[in-house]
Amino acid sequence: MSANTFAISELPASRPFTLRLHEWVTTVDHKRLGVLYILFALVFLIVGGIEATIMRLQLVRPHNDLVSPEVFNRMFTMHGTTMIFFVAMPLVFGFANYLVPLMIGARDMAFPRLNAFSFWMSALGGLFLYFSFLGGNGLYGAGSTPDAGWFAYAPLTAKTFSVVASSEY
Amino acid sequence: MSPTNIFDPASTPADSIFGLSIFVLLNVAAVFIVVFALLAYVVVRFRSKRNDDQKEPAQIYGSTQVELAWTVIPVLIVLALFLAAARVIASVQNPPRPPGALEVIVTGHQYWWEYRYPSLNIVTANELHVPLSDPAHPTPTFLSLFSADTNHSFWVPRLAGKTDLIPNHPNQMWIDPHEPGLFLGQCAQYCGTQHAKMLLRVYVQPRDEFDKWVREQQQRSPAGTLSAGQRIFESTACVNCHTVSGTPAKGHFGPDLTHLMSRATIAAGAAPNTSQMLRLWIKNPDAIKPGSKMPAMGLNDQDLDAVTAYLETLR
Repeated sequence: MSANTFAISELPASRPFTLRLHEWVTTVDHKRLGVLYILFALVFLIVGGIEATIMRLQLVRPHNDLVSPEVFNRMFTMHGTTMIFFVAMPLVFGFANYLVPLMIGARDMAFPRLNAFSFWMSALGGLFLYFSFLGGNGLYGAGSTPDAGWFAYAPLTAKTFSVVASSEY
Repeated sequence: MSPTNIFDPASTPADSIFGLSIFVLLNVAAVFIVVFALLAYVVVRFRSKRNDDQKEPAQIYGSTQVELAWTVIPVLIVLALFLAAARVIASVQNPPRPPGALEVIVTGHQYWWEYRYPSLNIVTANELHVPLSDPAHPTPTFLSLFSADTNHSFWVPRLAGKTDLIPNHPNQMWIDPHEPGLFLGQCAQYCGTQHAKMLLRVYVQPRDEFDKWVREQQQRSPAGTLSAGQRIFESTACVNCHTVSGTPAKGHFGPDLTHLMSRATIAAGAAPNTSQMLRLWIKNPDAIKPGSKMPAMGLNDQDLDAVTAYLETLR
């Protein structure tokens, strides 16, 4: 061991689950955050995949009435938003977080706490978006999930044509 | 063959776009074949051999010839694609306007189409009638596109590329169909709940048939005694949204019903125009097109029959 190596206290090989969970939640380590980003993306990949499946099932035959037009519109809006902002981007962030510091020989990302904060903001953003299925008073009952298309073109998203929260979630 | 087949153009703009897409497809197919043939050759020719001498192969640094080739050839390909696309865009956007051209004002509504023929004094909905255009003496139809609410897009694939209808931003497009018949299309810009059933029907008719249609559309409804159905129609909310020319019904929110029975479909192509469907549409529009802006009129069976009978006189 050379003189300028840090002395790291030995961690016990097996730690209780709560302790390991606490380590993951409070981590500022770029590799762990990278893994969290990728896991987060994979969870939303399944969610977005379920939405795509509902759309394709609706389109299996003409004049199908598996879901109402309102639900179908929500499905493609949420599928688009989910797949771009909660799957594709977190996957890229995850790999970049994990690999780029290793590739350039840095010890961690600059501002590790900000890095951790960014991940948790993304995760909460995803949960908040999906809370729209339950929260808010929608045009068609409980929930006011965005239904104005993930491109969210005005004037369809304007108050005149989307009178409920819809894309404001 | 699908009635909305993009590979079966029947009008000049669709035809030039189809020609361009085939040209681009041939170009990229050639690039694909050359690149993958070279790749396959290299993979096979330079695969590892059993008696390999393990020596490093000859290292070549720089080759003006090769570098020129892989710079100049892609530039030429891009230039050819650019020029071809520019020519097609120019020909579609700046067409000649022969004297026989017809002007139609198209207004997109949630979720139906309004057509006005200013030179012929005709207002109709959902079913556009245009004259057949003989390539030797073209009689194209120029469409001015407006929107009353959200964005829509006019897309009849066999006649022209799609063009958006944007509120407060008039757009232009044109068609000159070479074959008669019914051409189908679809609103191509997500515009709200019933975007899916905002269907387009374009009837291309030989000149004499088109003129006959124009004469019928220009006829005023005959003033006669009020039928029971007409009385109900004119004393309920129907008149707030619908127009029947020559009567107090002057609404503009819904389709003009002056010549309703000249149309083959109702609800923007969602249902055939039969008395049964018409009755259902007045009684419960959501049964045909959930989310449409037409309200259920809440009439009793007798009144429903009367209003349906009245609508069936609007020829």
